[in-house]
Amino acid sequence: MLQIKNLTVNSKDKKEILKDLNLEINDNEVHVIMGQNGTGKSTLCKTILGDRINYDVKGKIIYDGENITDLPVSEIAKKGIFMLFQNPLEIPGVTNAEMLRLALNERGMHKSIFEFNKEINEVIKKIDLPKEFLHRGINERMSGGERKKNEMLHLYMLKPKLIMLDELDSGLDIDSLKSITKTIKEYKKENNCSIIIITHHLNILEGLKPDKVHIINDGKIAVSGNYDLAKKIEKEGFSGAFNISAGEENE
Amino acid sequence: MNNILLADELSSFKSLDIKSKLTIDGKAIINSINYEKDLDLDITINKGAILVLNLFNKCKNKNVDINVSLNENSKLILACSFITDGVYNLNINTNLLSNNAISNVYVRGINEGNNDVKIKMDGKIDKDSKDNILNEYAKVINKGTGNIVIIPNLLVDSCNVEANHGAAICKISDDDLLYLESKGISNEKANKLLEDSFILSIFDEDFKGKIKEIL
Repeated sequence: MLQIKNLTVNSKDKKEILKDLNLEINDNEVHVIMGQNGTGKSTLCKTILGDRINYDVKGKIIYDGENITDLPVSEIAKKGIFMLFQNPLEIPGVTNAEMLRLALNERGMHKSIFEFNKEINEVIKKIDLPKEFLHRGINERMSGGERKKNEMLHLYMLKPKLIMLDELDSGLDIDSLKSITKTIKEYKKENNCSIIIITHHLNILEGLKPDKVHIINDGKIAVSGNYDLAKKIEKEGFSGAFNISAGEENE
Repeated sequence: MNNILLADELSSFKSLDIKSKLTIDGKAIINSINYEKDLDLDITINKGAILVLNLFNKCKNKNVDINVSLNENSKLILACSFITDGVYNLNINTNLLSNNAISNVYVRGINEGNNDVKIKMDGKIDKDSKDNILNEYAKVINKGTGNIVIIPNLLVDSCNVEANHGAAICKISDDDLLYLESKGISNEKANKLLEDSFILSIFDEDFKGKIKEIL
């Protein structure tokens, strides 16, 4: 599904963030990216998303066999890549319904108001979102938990094939995290999507068991392993992760 | 010059001349969309009266002068939005003449061309008045190369008052654009969505709906 080849990413002020990074994610897999603060985990996701305002990129990003490295963000999204930002933005004045209708139109999925309303009402019922959120500005006057739940509405309406979760647990209480994780798990089951999870903690992984865990260090994937690697990191910290049997050192 | 007494709602400016004088009693809501001429309004809001004045213009060159005098216990909500690719001059003068009056002025604009935009807001409060509230805020997005000047003056001669002002000249946020584009909306349409919401943000839902039809 996704192949990242020799990806080097610099910030606009020429600071090297990722160096010659390689990663491959297959259909329906869950991959976890861990690493200390500032190692480029979020940058990796934003680069996949197509953010070239903040980053200069070398290397290749192949999605479903197509080189998407130089595509605009909107084109990448239309191909089925979705990012749940760590702190989803508040955009007062642009309602959820208005944005989603336009986003579907942009995908060539023109729906009548009746069809659109029917579908969106089914989704808000399914994810237990207050109906009034539909006509509220995107994430406007919403708590951290409500914002992420609101993003679940976008997820279900836009039906991506690759989801990137950037520190999903950030700003969420335990119940909210469980609820969001459950929604994502159900979505995955229904839609056979792949997921990239950026996290510092294991609590999110209990609902979404990973196929692979990768540790980013010094701009590269330093170690890859299975769920045990994540457990080891939680227990011993990142310094311990580079000498553990669960991991296969990449270099 | 017209001198119109508004008891209820007046839905358009069509009956007015370029230079008009209004006196407000009771509650009045005036909505104006794309009034074609320059505008020079002189408004008196009588004791206890309320005026909601919503103005929207998509225009080339325009001069708008609005002078409002507020008497005791009166209230003004003035929301003015514009999109221009010409010279745009907006002068809003509010005079709080007595006690316990409220004046809220909100301006939003988009300068699409390379001409100059000047917004001057003078809010005056008389010396012997008390318990008045005066707010004036203006925000303009500059898409062209013209000069934008915003002067939000608070001319307060009373110590018993709440007065606030603000001015901002900005552009559409890159983060907002990235967010919308990440949902699959093209850069052009994401810009339009954000600009429209910016222009509409100061109006109530009914008036927003009317403007959306023409944007």
